[in-house]
Amino acid sequence: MKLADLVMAGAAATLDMKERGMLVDRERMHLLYMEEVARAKELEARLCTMTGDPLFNPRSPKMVAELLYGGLGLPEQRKRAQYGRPGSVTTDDDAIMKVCGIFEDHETKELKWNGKGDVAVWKLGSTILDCRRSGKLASTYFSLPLDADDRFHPEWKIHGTETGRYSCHVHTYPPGKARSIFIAPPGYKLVVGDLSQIELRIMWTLSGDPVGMDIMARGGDAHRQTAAEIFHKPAGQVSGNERFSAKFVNFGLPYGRGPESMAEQHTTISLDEARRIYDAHHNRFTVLWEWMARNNLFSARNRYIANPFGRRRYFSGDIGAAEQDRQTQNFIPQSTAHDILTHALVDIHTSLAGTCFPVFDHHDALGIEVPIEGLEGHTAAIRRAFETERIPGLQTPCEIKVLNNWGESAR
Amino acid sequence: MTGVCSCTINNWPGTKHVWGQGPLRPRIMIVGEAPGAMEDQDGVPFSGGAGRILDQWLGRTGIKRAECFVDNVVSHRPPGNDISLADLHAAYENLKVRIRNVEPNLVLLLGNTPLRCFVDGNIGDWRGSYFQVEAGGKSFQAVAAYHPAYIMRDKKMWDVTLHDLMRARDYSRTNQYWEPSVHYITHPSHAEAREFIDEALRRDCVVVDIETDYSFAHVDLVGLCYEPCLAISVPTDDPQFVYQIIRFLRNTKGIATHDSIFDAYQLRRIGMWCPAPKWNTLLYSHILYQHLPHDLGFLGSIYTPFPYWKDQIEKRKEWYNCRDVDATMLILLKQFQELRELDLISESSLPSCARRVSEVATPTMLRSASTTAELNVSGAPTITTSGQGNEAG
Repeated sequence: MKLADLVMAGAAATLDMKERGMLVDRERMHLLYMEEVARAKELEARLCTMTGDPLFNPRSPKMVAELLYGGLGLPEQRKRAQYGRPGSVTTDDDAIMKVCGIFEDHETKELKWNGKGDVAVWKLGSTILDCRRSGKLASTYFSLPLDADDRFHPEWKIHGTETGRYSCHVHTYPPGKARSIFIAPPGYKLVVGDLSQIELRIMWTLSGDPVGMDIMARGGDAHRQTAAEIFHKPAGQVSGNERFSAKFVNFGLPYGRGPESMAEQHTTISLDEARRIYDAHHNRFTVLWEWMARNNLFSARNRYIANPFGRRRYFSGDIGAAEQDRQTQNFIPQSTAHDILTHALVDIHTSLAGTCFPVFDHHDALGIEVPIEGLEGHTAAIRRAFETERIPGLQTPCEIKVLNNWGESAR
Repeated sequence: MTGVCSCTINNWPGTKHVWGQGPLRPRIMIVGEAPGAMEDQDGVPFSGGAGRILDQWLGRTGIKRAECFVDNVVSHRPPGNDISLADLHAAYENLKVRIRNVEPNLVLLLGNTPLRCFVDGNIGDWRGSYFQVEAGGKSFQAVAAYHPAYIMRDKKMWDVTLHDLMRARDYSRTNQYWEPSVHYITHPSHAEAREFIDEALRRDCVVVDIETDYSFAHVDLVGLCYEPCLAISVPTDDPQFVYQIIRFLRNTKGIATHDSIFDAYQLRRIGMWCPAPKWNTLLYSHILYQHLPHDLGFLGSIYTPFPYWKDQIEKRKEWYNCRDVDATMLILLKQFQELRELDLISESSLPSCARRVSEVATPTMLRSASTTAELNVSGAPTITTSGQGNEAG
């Protein structure tokens, strides 16, 4: 299927997806709303006590900036400079995490102290972030406009990103509690199909990197095996930290994340160590790095890059060379993954029409309402739609989860 | 055009009068905002940084600066680059006199300041528009484009501005304003709506666009177009019209829209089942030029000969509805051509009208606009339509 045909078939499926909508547990949503509003109020009161200012508002960037960069004298954080203009002062979540020594536990989503700086500052910063989160959960996630059948009809923006990925309010729902309001209707299950490690597979396959191809052929834990390759030890002897480092490089490459980013996020790794890990990865996955360099060169010369489906990303304006390289690296795996997912969506929409109903798209995953009767057969058909080879040599294994509500997928 | 400065307005102490330069009766009169520091020093318009960019654009588009008359709205450098509204209005009158005296084939308005001499709008909306302006009791052709100083700050629109200059170059071959002949049926009778829909049902590609109220809760109008410059706007406040719209939606061979999800979903939501659009200008634009805006106004400025019309919704909603579907049809035909060139669309998914694209010679560009060799801007459109209009655009 050619790109324009694929996009239009995907749009037809998305139109039906929007029309059907996502079923919401209205009572649960209301309950969670009340919970979060109460929690936000409690945290706000606590912050007023901590700061000694009875009018302190954690949602006011100006007040937070005055407190952190003025009162506490923490290093001022700024947004990225654009078009030759310096970035403005920011108090977004990343900035607060950085100056207050906070890191987010990826498993529990708790805001923990990274051991750098003052514990009191960490406590203040994490309370501000917690308060913001509660407010956001209540106002953004638990106040959905529902129709008479308790369904929410999201605005799917097919042209929402430059990589072709859809953008939608639904994509911002954090895993767990927030997503648990989206449920399967009676007699149905919510089947979530997720393309496993798709971006990594795309990069290894398109580059033809022999080490990466070998890891894919062996199957199993790709990050553990990557760590084994980088640290020159058997996969069984790879430590948790080593696996984490390998995972960071694997997932970070498509997003242009380098050793600086690794050292910043991983508290136990110094910048020198992070550089050594990246060097080791570079030395082991030489073909992959050469492929990325070739892509960067092509994009610099031609001011565009294209994915295997012909989707192009143009670069114009004042974009710097480093940013163009980052976006080039990011574009191919992300856009290719999205186009593969659209193929799966179109297949499910046409082959299971009237039986199974796609209800959401979430980056590399699709959520489908599947009748409990004949669940096994339908799930197998969904798996086939995901795992059909769309690019020669690219295997796209799919992880299928059968759920009662979307929140269960975090388990 | 030089002499002793006799400016009674905008003549700030210590500033030089920067005279417009170039031949009389030129192909293009280029009008900027006001002299900068360099211009004030040299006494030559567009001699600073913005002038260097303008020279690059002229070179790239094959326009000779020596054949242009280059001028500014204000002839003296304003203190702090700030011009009061009263000063500006006086300068506008002065500019119109100069345009009348210079008698160019076409006026190229660079930026908001010269644009607002003639239009109550923004350059972001109006850039690329080809329209007619009045100066000293005479009509002149005009094209609006971004000012080089703006592009110096944001180069994203560099290629688009090149396109706008090529449009100015091509229209400046003559001094005759060209207006496409259109037939928009804005307040149809039942018979007219039925006849139009009968014909639309025979076509394999019909553009559909809806107009809603502010809350998007109610669909007021449904616009249809099956060939360029011929469109109808059907109201939904009459059961007979509603029946005709439903008849069309149920039996159509294929519809095209600008925003595939929005229009079709809104129609389905109010009980008018609408098939999924087969073709979509917004999504094709995202495929072709993902880095540029995708709104209909922008695409219209690239692919159609129509001046900016998106500010007309309040004044004449039915006409606006017709213009939307007409513009979408013209855009679609050009996009088919570009998608075919890039081998991004299968022949089997193209409607028969896609083969008629050569008959609709609208200006276009934009493939890798970093190389002018690939830009292809044709001359004035040669669109003709038959039929009698009850409102011409």
